[in-house]
Amino acid sequence: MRQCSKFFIAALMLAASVSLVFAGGAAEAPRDVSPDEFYRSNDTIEMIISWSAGGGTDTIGRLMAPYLSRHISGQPNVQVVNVTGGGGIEGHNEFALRRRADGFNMLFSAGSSKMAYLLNEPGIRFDFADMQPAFGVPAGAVIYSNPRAGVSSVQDLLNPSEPLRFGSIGVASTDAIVLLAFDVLGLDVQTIFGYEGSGAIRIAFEQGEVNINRDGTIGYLGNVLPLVEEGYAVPLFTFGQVRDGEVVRDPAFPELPSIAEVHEELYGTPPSGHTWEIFKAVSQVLFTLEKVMWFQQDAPESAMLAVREGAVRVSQDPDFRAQGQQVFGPYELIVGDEIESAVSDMLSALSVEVRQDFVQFLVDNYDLDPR
Amino acid sequence: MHNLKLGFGILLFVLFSGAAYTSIGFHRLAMYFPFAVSVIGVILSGVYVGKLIFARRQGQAGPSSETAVDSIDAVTEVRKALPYLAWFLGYILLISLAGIVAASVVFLAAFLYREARMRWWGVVISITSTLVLLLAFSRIMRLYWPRNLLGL
Amino acid sequence: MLEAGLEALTMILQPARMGFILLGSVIGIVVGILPGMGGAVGMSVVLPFVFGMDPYSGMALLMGMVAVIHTADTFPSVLLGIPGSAGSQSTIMDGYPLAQQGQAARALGAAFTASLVGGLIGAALLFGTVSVARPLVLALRSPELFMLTLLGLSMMAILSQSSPLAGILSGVLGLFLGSIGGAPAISRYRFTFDLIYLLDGIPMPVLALGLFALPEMLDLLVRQTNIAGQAELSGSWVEGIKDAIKHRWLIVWNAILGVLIGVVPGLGGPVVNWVTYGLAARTCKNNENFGKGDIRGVIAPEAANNAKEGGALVPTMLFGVPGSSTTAILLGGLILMGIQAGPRMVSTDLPIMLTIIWTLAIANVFGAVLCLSLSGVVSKISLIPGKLLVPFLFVIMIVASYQSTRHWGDIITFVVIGILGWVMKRIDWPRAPLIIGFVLSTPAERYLHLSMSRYGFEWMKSPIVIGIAVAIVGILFYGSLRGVKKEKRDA
Repeated sequence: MRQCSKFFIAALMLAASVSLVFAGGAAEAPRDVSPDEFYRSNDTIEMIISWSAGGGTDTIGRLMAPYLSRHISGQPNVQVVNVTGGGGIEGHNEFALRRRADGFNMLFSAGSSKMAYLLNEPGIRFDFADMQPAFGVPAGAVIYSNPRAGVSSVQDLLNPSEPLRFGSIGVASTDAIVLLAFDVLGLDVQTIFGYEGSGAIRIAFEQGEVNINRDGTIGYLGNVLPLVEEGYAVPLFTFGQVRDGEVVRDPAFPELPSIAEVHEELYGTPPSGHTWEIFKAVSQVLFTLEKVMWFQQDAPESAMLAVREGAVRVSQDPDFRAQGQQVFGPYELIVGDEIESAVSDMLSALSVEVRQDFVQFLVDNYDLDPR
Repeated sequence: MHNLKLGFGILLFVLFSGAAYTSIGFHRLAMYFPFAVSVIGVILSGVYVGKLIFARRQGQAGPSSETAVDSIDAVTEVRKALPYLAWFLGYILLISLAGIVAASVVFLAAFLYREARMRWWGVVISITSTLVLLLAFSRIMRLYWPRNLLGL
Repeated sequence: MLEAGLEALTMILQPARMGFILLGSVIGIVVGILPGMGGAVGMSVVLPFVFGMDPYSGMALLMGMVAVIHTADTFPSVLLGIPGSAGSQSTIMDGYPLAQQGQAARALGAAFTASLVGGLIGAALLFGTVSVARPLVLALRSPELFMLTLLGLSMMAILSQSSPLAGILSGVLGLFLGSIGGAPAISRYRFTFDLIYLLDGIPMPVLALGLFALPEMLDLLVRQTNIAGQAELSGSWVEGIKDAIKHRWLIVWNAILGVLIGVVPGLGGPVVNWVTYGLAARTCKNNENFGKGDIRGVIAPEAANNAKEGGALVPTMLFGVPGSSTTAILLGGLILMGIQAGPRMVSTDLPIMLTIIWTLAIANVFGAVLCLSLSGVVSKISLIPGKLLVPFLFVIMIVASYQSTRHWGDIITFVVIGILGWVMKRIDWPRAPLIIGFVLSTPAERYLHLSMSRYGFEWMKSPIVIGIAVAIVGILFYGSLRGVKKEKRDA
């Protein structure tokens, strides 16, 4: 028995020393230096991605990581960390609540978490207003239809030979903006909720189970363009990009009309009114500034500036531009002063009224859980 | 075994009843599936419990004591397993307090020494090698540890 | 096509690329052996390295790993009764009893041979059908997918022959556990008690680990022995290979079945191995030993789960619809190398598709040979006394389940489900129906809702739907007829 207790004391001491060793590495005084000197080559910045590896945001994050590492002064490692759960909310919460604001944690957010934020989904404990942006990545979306199921041009939208059917993951997803777009254009669309993901919806589209669909730029170029070439799909319009409150054509698809032009074609007037204002605000959040790299508000400013400056150099790197073309499309990174104004535009676009009206629209028409 | 079955059957009955009741409050489209599933669960677990009670009545009437023997065996089995379950729960509690590295050291040392009666040097060697392996893997595979209350 | 195939082979048969396949296979084996860590963990290891590789080499590394994980995951399933990954759950049913009889090496030998042949058949079928596979996937609309889900659910009945009421109840419990989290038909959360952890539902790897691993570990401690229950092992892996050769048609049929189920988008790995196991248990002659250590119960699912990887590449590569977290990461990796999955895979990008198929085949051979050569040594694990083995396993289990979502909820779920599994084991309730119900719960609800909201009741008139319905009835009745016959024989 005596031997036993001796042993326990020894084990406890061993455990204590082990945990001390591990704890020792973490504590270090905050660095108060210029952006050029903040990071060193043996530092690691963790880039939190709240979706699992292999998804769209993850792939872009992993594309960026080595370029950021190369171009941020001091060449720190940039490490992708997937913190999944709650449909993308958990990683954001972890970043906001449990990660140190020490300049070694960044969050890469995407459209779907912004939609959850906009709709105040359950479980959200973060606020983008408490974060500062380092840079952003835009995205686009194309609406296309199935000519064999009744829609082969923009004009057919008002009088389709078969009812318009749109497949969706659920109303509390980025699909919500498509529903808003249909409302802007005054289309009568039956929405079928419950598909597993954009790939499953694309299959349903090819089967004719649904006949109008939306895809992101990369998904469209890879999976839909071949169908267009064979006559199985017809591109109709893009959501465009919001520039100074106006919707302009998507730079990735200069030949396709924007939603504003389609409205003009169908009704002879440019879109206007309350729903259109909501659409523009939400579109800006979801597409014009789709993905944003964030620091916490109280993270060291020199860290944030170092990453911002790094991102400027990344956006000019010819290798990155070539690879980025294939991974997220022919868009320019939003860097430098632009990101600051883009984010403040975004946050002001998300005024309380816009949020309320948007939620109300979805509650009234699509049974969104009112919160 | 019989009592264990009965207890588990009643537990399921309660669980499914609660689930059926809760799901009534859901939106129509979210309700029908869990409601149907839990109602089937309520019915089947009711039948299950009913059959067991019926069988017990019959068993008491008859001279057969097979169920009684069974239940003694099952009870001893459960009783034997409980201490080990306690070890595991203790380990998990320790992880939450001290972090996984320290907790694993203490758990392995104590278990191997007390339960497996390993010599102390065997304990030290096996723990060290486990730690080295775990840490190496965590580096290579980017594994993550459960965080404890102190954030270790 | 053949010419293009040979050309693709010469792309792969370069020393550096073969080296990458081998490296991928070794990583795949390590990931497969560690219980509970599926392809997602392995992929995140490899992904950073594919940067800057040429597409053929990068693919060799990625596919090498993907192909081998489902060979190596047999080790923990057979030796410890713990599912090595989602694809080898049903291997436990007969593999672990064999290990408990000291025949671990034989079971492993048979399993790896079946894996090897199954994987090669999968690759060959994929090669033969890749250019015509699109219509097959397009024939499966939501109603057909719903019926296939029902077909999967009918396995619950087959796997609970010993105690039907308990088996069905266990399946219903699985269906209920699967309905926790977001509802598929509408954006509402169910039974989440405001816990963020439950919003996405219970993670499948944690459920499988808890249900099978914790009970086995406790029992091993209580029995005070080693897994084999004896001091020496009988049977060698050579014997297992002979078993596999003896049941070669079983391998071929299950490989074909595995490819077919693999092609179905949205069903996934666990379904394949339970369906093939259930069908084998139902249709093989002299099937009373299934569940107690019948070597055919190891061969059938192992042949299918490796062949499935070939079939699963159809939705993954041709439609960009990943069937599992592993293939999701494969898609991400390909995008990083500048390759977009989609219809072009069978037109302009055909060479890439063909190299993927070759890599799959070659990696299967590497993986099976490596695993076979390891099986003699590794099967000695079943001779280690439980009290020495279990504490280490428990540490691994905790670390493994924590990798699912890196949330304390993983560990708590592991323990709660573990205690549930242990109670079920003690009172002889089959646990397989629970897993099947859990895995198919969301697809069942999803496809029923999609069918109804798109087609009303019209969908029931589809000939494929009726065909599958007839097949389900056939499967259910076939077994009970045999059951009746057997009773008559016994009487």
